[in-house]
Amino acid sequence: MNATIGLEIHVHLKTWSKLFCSCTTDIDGKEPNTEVCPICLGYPGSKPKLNKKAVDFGITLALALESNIEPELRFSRKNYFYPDMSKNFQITQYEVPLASGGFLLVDDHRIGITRVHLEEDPAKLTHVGGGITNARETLIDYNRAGMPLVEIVTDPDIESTEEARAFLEKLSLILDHLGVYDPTAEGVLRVDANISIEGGNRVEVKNITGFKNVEKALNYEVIRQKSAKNMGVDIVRETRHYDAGSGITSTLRLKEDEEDYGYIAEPDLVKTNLTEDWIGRMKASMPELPDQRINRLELQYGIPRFQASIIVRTGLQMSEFFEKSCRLHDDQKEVCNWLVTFLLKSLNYEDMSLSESKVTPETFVEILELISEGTISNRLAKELIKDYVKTGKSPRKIVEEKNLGLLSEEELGKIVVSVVNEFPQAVEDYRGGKSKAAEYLIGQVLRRIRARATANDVRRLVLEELD
Amino acid sequence: MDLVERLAKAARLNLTPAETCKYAQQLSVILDAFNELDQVDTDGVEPSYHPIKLEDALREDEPEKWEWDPLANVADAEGRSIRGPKIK
Amino acid sequence: MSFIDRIRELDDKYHFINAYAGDEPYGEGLLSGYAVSVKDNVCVKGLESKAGSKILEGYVPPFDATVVVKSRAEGGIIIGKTTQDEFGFGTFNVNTPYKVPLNPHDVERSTGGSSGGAACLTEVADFKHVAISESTGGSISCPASWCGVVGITPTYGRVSRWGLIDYANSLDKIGVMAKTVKEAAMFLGVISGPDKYDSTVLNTPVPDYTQLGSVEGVRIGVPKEYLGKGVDHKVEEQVWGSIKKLESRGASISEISLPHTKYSLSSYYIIAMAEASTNLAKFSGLRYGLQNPIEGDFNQYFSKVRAEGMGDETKRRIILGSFTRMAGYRNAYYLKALKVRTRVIEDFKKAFKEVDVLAAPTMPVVAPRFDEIAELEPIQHYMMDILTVAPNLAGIPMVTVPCGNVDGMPVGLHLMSDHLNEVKALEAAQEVEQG
Repeated sequence: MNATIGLEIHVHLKTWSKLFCSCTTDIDGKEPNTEVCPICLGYPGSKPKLNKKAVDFGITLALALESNIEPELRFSRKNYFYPDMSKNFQITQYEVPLASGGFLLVDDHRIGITRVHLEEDPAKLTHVGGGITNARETLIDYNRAGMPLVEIVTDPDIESTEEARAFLEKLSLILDHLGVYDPTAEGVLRVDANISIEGGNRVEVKNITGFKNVEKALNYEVIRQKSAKNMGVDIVRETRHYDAGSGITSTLRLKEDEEDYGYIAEPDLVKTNLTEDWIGRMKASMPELPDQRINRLELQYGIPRFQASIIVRTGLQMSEFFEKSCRLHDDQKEVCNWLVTFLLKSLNYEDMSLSESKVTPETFVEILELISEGTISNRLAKELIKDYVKTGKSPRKIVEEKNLGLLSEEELGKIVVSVVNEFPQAVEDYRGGKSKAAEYLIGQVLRRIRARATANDVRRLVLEELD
Repeated sequence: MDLVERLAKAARLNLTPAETCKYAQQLSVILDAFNELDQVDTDGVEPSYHPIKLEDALREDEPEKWEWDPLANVADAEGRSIRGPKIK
Repeated sequence: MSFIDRIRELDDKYHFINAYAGDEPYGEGLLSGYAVSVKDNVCVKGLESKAGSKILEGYVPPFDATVVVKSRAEGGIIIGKTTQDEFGFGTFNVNTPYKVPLNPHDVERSTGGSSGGAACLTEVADFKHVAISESTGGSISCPASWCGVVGITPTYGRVSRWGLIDYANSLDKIGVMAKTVKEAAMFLGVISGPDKYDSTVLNTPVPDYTQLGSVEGVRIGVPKEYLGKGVDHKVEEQVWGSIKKLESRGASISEISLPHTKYSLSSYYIIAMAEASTNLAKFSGLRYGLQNPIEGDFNQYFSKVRAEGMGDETKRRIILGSFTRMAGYRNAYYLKALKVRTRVIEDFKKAFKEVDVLAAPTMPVVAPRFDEIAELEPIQHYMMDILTVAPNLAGIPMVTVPCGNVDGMPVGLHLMSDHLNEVKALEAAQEVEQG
């Protein structure tokens, strides 16, 4: 759906420790308030200290988004009160961000990146006895407080809800390639979206987790705004909350109620010089970005561009899987075909990601080897791959255990004979001139042998037998 | 007065009407005194966020666990979560 | 009699302790045999530290301030927390729901603030004692001079602020008080130095502050803006007496000018209150300190507990501080004040090209009577700070040393030197002390 959209994306950086303290960032599944210290809990007397690695990641991301990096990194206090704030201010970057003026191409459409900056995450709130607007109390878990975030703000260049999703998918892929974030960890990517239709007022939808939800929330907003317009109701400038369960957005607060954040420079931190040297080192060690990889796979492996694109867009692990598999099997085009057409399809069918499954490049190429050895037919391989994806079991083993190898001419002949003997009526019909009877017999054989021979071979032997 | 009410609200301070009046009056006197800063020529002057030159204080990315009980000073905990007031 | 027993006796009379420490073992080192008192805003693990405020009542820090660790490492015995103005907001140590200390030279007069308890104990202690103190705009110099003891406010960043409950982060300095220059200098050396937990601490090596030479050839500058109108002439007399003495010992005296002195007060207060109003936001009845039964929404809960737990002066500074940061006023106040600070620092840097040490009265008057203070308007309170605020704003080191009496009340001489040049100020202080 068309709209004018700007996004603010918050991503957890994959550092080992938090942004301003040495607490671990490995907080998934931990008991509440167990990975905290006086600094991230906002204890009086505690003071922040900046994590160097977070700056490394910030610079790398800024470079990948083709933005201009400031020579000095400075932090500010954004002051507001909320139960998830351990200090009732957030250390973030206000006046001058880490970088600005970048862009990301989404299918040749240039989406401007206004700014990239670092900030700390607040705590996690659980609303007890209701949702955010009607709970009776809140339970606070500060494990997440102080986690390092990079915030990426786009210009309002996104022109549709579908493009918003495509942008996020591409950004996520870049982040994955850069190794700065872990796509499998919980809630690592949160989006605030600003959306308006047909030049109307802008509405902000806050804190949406996951790209599918972003597209859904924005679609809902477009519909809501359009209906309001049709009914002659004004769209109010406000902040709304998206509830994934019900699929609707609701008012959180009106723009007039917005806080004045009263920013000051963070006086417990000092400026960090982002030297040419530092930026140069990050540039030199920059991993391959998705667009670069698509080009390289196309050239290096001689595969069609659209397939290279599918492989890269599925994710970092998939392209690595592909390349590993190519090292194990000479026919790289075959590897590509089987991976893109059948492996991916089976994974989707089982609703599994590559990392969730037990498939490995070594076992994957076994399928190709079995085909080229002549042990199994293509048709059987297509069946086999489903089983393989589900169980992760070595295809060779599956073939052995289930006795799925191609039948020898002799074995096949025996089966043909036995089937022909079972259906004398069909034989008579065939000899009586009904050629369709032969198809019936061929079908019976095929059913019995379950892809352990090619249809052509079966046809040949049946006709031989009949004649 | 209005200003003091807004500021008190932003700073989450319940003030009595008497306090609000008192602060409004004192605020205006003090702010008048501050206006003398307009007399200082600060064109092209850099702000001093600190009185001495300080830069580049960075920490290696090495996790360290604080051995302590974060709930020891908490009056109201539910299990390991800290209980707080509702949003709306 | 143990330290603690004697301190209890003295405290009954002068009211300077907010919390007593437990038994501490004897230790070896430079502070062997010394009682170390700690200003209430400096955290001691396991000992209630509330910075003189009800909103932190019952708060027991889970960690020691770096200066406390360093003191113990040299054998110092932590004896307790000294009383102060709430969060450091005040010049007379009357802004607190806890103890208001009495001036040992006249119990109807103020000790000065905000480190009133520290100065009081330092003066009355008849055992080996040094005080951990803290200054934002003059909270070491003022009470030290009014109680007749030595107070050192080091260069900003010389001493780690890890464990200091913040007033204003770019202005706060932990410093020391003692009866003699030598002890104060020794203690300063103990608590100074780098600390990985504090991003604003300096990594420069710490000299031996007890290696002090004479003032022969030292150039002393007297800022003309620090004398004359507003300073009690009897106080000025005492101060000039000491300055002349330094001259007789080989120092040269000249008049210098710090033209932006009068603007330093506004600049200081704007920066201090802007920072303080954000520092105090964390005190909202969650995680530690004063906590109420959870009821109402978070705005209601926060607003109630904060109003209950914080005093009048604190609320005023939060309101003022919030104003100076507000959109629309931020440039005229907060940012302007930061630029004026640059000018103030330039004044000092220029002066230190001509002279090594600045000398002036520490406070414009001697310790006032409590009943006099009650009549003061907030703006008059602020004027008391004018002599100490400028050097504090500039983050330069300063030493106050007793230099005489007026009507039985101590007068302090303020000796200030360039950043990281504590030794020069200490040398002059020692010379004055030797009489």
